Amino acid sequence: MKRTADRLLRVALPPLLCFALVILAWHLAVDLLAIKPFLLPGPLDVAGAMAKHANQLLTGAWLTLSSALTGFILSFLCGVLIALLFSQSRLIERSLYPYAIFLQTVPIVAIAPLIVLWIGHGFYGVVAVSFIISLFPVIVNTTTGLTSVEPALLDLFALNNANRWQLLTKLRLPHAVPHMLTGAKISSGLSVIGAIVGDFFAGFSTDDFGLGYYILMTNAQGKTDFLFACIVFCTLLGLAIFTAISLLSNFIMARWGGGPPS
Amino acid sequence: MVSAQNIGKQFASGIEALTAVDLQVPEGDFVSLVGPSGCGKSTLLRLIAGLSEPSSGILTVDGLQPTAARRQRQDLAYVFQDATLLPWRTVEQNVALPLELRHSPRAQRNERVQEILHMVGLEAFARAYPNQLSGGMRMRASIARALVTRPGLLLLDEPFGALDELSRQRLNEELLKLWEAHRWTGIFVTHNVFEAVFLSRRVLVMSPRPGRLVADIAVTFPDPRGPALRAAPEFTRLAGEVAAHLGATLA
Repeated sequence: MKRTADRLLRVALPPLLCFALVILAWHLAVDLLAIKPFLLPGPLDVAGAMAKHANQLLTGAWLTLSSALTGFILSFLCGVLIALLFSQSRLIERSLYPYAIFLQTVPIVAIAPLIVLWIGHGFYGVVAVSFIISLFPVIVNTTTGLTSVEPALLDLFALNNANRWQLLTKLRLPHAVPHMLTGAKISSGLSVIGAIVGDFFAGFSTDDFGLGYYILMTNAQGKTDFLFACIVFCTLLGLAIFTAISLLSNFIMARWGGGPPS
Repeated sequence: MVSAQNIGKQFASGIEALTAVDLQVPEGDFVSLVGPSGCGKSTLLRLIAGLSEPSSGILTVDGLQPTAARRQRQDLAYVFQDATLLPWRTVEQNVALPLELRHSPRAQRNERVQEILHMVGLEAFARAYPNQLSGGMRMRASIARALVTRPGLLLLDEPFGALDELSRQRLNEELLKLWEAHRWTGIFVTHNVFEAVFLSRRVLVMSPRPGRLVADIAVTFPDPRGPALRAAPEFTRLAGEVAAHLGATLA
């Protein structure tokens, strides 16, 4: 017990100390240099804004989180399906791959107004932006996983006269699992970015306001302390989703191949 | 029975891998193919397995074209240079794979897998994953996977090439015992002269690329063979003879 506590302390102490020092330096700098609060609020101001606007921040974070998660889950499911399609036919892959790249290269801010036009403001609009941004990594990584099977393993299945379905379910899909998880990790981070960008354009309706909306609003109104509070919440949100997906991925990988080599 | 008449194989790149190969392997025979690396030994094995087609000549397995023989008879097994185990499956799941692909009933499958794991001495590692095994144990699992379907024709492509000498000798002895008990038709590719003489009834020597058969040496020792055979003068003489043929092809 004591040993674990010691180790935890050794691992956690340096970054915590560093964090405290930065906060202290920030506080002193704002205080001593008399920086105007609308340019850079002090840490106490930010904490105060968090307390004061807790209700808005939490409901905003909830909208952004739920749209990011929905966008991520949709992009994972669609990405895997598209990759399955790609892996089954070179013709389909060659015909559709350029459009998958289009998804990745088109600036999302350029098509966001269209999304609002077609889907409208609020949850579904934000989900659509998050979905589009996080789709590509799942497609690419899963396709790689499905198609990069070692030739000897393909021979093994051919020698046992495996049919197409067996080849897919017993070889290609399980082989793609680690790649799919890599794609999921990348896309989970992107889905949060997508949801915040989505908030900018669509994250407000009669009763829903996302974090991204509050960022724009507080910035326009010069409420920089509130803006900082939004940034803190966005960062925590991204961290939470990424950590959750990483833990899930470690859990799956430990079962996939018996864990790390011994 | 594997029969090749005047087989040639040219790759799309224009490289000629095999030329004018004549080969007869009767049922129950165990033949080794020895030759310098790149001489087309593995290519010949792939042709027999129906994984690729000869550019010229006639090749039949039990009177059928190799791919047809593989599909219809389902009694071919192949051991690769690497263990080629699926990393996401345990040893017993890996060994069960060929039975699974043939849709054999689960109960029957489990029984057979336990039996074969016992035969290769891996029963204690049935639930282990490949990355938890040594190279020798992985190869044993690979051989178990090949034997699980009770193949009539077993093709082995330098299966022990990556192992240390001690593991190689032990696996040679085990493979020999298994063959003596089951008498499948075996074609064993290697570039190790001692291994070839120890295991087989006939050693075929191949020339460098494009590969041809340059010698067919009968190996007649009384059964059962054991590790003591390696010290017998006749063993050394035969190994020397094979090595001499091999050396002549390189001269």
